[in-house]
Amino acid sequence: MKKGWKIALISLGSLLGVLLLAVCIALYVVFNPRQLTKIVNRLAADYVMCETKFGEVDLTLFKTFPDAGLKVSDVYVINPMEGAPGGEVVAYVGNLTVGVDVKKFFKEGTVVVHQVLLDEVTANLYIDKDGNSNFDIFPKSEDEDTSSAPFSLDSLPEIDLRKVKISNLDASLLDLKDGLDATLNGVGLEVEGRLQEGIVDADIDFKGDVVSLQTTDSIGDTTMSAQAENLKVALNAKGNMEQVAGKLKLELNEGLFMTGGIQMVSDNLYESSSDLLTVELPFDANLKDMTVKLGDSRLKLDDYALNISGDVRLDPMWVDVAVETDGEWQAAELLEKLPKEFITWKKGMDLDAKVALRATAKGSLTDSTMPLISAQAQLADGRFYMPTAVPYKVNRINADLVANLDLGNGGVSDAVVKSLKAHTQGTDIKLSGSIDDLLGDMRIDAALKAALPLEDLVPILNDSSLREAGGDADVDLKARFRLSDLDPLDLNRLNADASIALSKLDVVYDSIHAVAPKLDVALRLPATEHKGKMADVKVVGPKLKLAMGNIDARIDNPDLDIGLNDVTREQVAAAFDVKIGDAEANIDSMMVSLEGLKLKGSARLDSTQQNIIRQYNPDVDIDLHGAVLYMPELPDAVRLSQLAVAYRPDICNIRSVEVKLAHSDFQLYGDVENVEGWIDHKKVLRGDLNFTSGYADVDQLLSLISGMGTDPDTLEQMRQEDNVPADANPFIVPKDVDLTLHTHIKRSVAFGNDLNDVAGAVTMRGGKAVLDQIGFVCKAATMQLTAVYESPRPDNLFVAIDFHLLDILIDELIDMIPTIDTLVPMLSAFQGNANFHLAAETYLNARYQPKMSTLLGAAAIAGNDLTVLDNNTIASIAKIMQFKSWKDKDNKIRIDSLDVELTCFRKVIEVYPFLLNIGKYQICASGMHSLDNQCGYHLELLKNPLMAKVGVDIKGDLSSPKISLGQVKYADYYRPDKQGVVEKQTLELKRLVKQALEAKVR
Amino acid sequence: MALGVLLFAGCNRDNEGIEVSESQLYGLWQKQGTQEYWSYREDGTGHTWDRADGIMNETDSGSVAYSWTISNGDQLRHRFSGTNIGDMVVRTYTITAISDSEMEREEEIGNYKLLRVE
Repeated sequence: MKKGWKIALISLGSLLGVLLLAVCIALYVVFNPRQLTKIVNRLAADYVMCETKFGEVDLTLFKTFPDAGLKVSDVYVINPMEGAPGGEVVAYVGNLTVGVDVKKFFKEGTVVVHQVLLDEVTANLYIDKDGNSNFDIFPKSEDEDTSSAPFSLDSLPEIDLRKVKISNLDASLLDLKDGLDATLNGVGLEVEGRLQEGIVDADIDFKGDVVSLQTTDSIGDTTMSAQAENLKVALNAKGNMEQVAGKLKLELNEGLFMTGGIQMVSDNLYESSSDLLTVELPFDANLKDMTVKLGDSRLKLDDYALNISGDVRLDPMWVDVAVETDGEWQAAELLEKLPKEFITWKKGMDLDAKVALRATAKGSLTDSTMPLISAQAQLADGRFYMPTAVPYKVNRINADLVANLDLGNGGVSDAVVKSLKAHTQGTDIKLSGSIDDLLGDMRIDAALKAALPLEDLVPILNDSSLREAGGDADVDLKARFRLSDLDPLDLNRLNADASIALSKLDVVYDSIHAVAPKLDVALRLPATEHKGKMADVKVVGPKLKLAMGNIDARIDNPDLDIGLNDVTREQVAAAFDVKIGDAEANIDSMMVSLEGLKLKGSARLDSTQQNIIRQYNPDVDIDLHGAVLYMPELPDAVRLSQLAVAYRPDICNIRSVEVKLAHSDFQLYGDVENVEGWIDHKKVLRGDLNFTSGYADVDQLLSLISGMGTDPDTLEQMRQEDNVPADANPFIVPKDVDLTLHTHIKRSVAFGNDLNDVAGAVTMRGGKAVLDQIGFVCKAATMQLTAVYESPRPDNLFVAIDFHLLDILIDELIDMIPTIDTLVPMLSAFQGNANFHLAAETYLNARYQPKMSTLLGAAAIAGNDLTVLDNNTIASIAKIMQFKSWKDKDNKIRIDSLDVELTCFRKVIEVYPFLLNIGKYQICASGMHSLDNQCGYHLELLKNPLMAKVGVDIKGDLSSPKISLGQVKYADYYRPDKQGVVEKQTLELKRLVKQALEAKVR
Repeated sequence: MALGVLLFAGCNRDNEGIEVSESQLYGLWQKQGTQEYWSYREDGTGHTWDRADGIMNETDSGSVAYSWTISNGDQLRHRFSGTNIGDMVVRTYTITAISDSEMEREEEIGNYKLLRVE
């Protein structure tokens, strides 16, 4: 395109030369129009390679006064070219007048042109696709290629040009090669001044009714379109061919400019009453260096004025320019005048501020470089409202911003927010910071200070779970991050320090209600204390109240130190060090009071899990100084005086737990495994614990673990099916457990009996509770108990026992185990110490009452030096057996030894034959009786002074039996065999215990 | 008097019982007036249970297993095995009468009748 213009200018210059030549000729001819016309036509043929036509050539004196003028009418330049829109006429000038200095002509014989006046000019310039133009009509120099030589006014004949005026110019240029289509309509151009010997002193006024320019791309689509209406350009220039200074003024009343498919002049701008564009541009140009020094220039678009000054070099392009707004711009009004395509982001947004800009641009403008732009912007009294983003108005926005832009290839731009202050609702916000790589992946280093009511956050967070937020937050945030870290959010790449001082906190989030008079929250990304974590979070405060579902808690002096991993992951993990001074919590009707709680470890939250352990996946050390637990199920509080637990995913190490419950106290330590798997019934809870106690209420402690692991609903359903009375609460062996308690209890009460020095292993495994040779002392007697207990249903319990009492007073034995008197009714008649051994099994109902149809057992009672209390039955027997002098002097009946074995099935007890030595008499007794008080015993006198055999049968009701002589059954010297039934039963029970303890449970 | 006692005591009672074959016992019996059941199988085993205790049949826990034999014509001997412990408990009853539908048993502290169920 530049070449085209160059050719056009050369052509215009050449044309001017021709015209001047014509004027000169005219001066040699004696003002004869005919002669002048002939001369012009002939000379034109020498200078113009195309056809030219002239109308009449005449002289005029008035129009060019004081110069003499040569007036040529109807000048045609004709150069037919296919496709040219103007046809064969390239240019037409209705009137061409050249004013010549008459004095110079007559005195010196030289022709000096002072004026050139053109009127009614039409030009139809055309360049085809191959670059051929219809105005390439002048002969080329043989010595040089003028097309490539720079144009210079020096190439023109010596002139003293003082006025050039073109009136009524209509021109068009169609350049198919470069895709240019330009038109000028109603243009007037007037140049006044002097152009003499390379000195220029001119005032140029250009006025155009309509100036349009359109460029197209290679396929003919419009790439740029400009139209100026009522364009006025005034140029004052003084200088020579190297240095020109002056002032350019441009006024454009209306216009349109479209590029890239976008109309840059919006409707609002177009319809504005102000001029579209005015320019005042003082300049000092060096044409040789192609540099321009801009004075205090002013560019005003509509009502928005910019002051510009600086230096510009055109080739290669280089600028050092300063630009600033003339006063403050009102952003809202300015935005309304921008192309709508540029403000789509503003939809739904109310934005305004007083804006003052100051910028400098310095540097080369090449294909790869752009001038460095340094800009300062100041915003004052701004406002912002975008309900979809921030549902309340932000006002009092004041900001001081700096940006350094390098728009060239590889250039890095940055911006600095020196200060930004804003206010919304009750919130004051202060922001400062910097943004590196402004036009790339922004690296932001920001500091934010805000004092805001938390309720202002509710609409911003747009989280339906956040139902209420009361209180104030004083936020001090420093953050460094890249913009790309935000979308998608990558918290691992953020670098931030935040401290949030919360006061009068009252927040309801989902079902959690938190209240705190003061909380200090510190946030650090990435974590520095918890290495490898995304963030350190610290929360410290004097008090915190939490309500969550059925939990209502008060925490004193909470001190939370948490290392969080990426919270945007599905499973949030955290390392934590939590300290709590004191705390109280109500959970349903249960109340917990804690003292000195420390939790240190890690957890991983997984909300998809039902298992509470898997929901948190803790790996934690728990240290608790004290706790009190009130449960409605317990009449007394549970008090923990010391708790130290190390919970790991695979094992829970109870280092120490000291518990007081009512009058019971115990210490527990040992390991428990598979807590997690046991909760969801996939693994067996395994544990090996040591249980030591000063005093233990065994019944109460058993009730604490009764039914553990069994679904309460299932248990209740079974109770209903079995019609279990409400006050019957049998011990239900915990399900899916394999727990062994190594007990050592100094004093205890169990099933109404005081037991001391209890020691032995209690194992719960496979639905069985096993007491393996538990030793204890009761009523001064040493006892040993081995037992198996099962609870398949609340009303169908099973117990098998091996109970061994040594050297116990018979009275106390009966007192301790009243059932003994039922099993061996005659025992109550004896006094003294005995050994008692019982092996039995039976099913029990929910009140621990034997289901007699299932009772099987065996017992052995052995004693020496016993005393028999006299009673009617004994007296009757003695009478029948003719006892004489069988009592001691103190009237007591003494028995040297007693060794009884018996078995029990259902309600019937069978006593195997045993010997009684009473003084000089020896009796063998055997028989059976029922729990319905029916008996059938046989006593036989084996040894007596008379050596007579006597048998006695005792039958009927035990309270008043029928005693009669009976058949003699035993031979002389009969000695009943030792049955050993108890021992055998004991062996069976031990086998059962061994099986239970060795059973492989899953 | 003493002589009388000695003479009386020295006399043995003859066995005057009935002769019962094991096959007469095969089947299920219910103790009359109770919910107590007794089963006698041909292999010499059986179970007894009491529905009054919530044990509804021989396979329920609480049902007591036993082995049984007949000796001396009318002596029905049971050796009971507990659910978990051994078979040390032995009971012997005397069958005083038996038919297809009824059986009378006697022990030291009483007599009772069983009615055939199956």
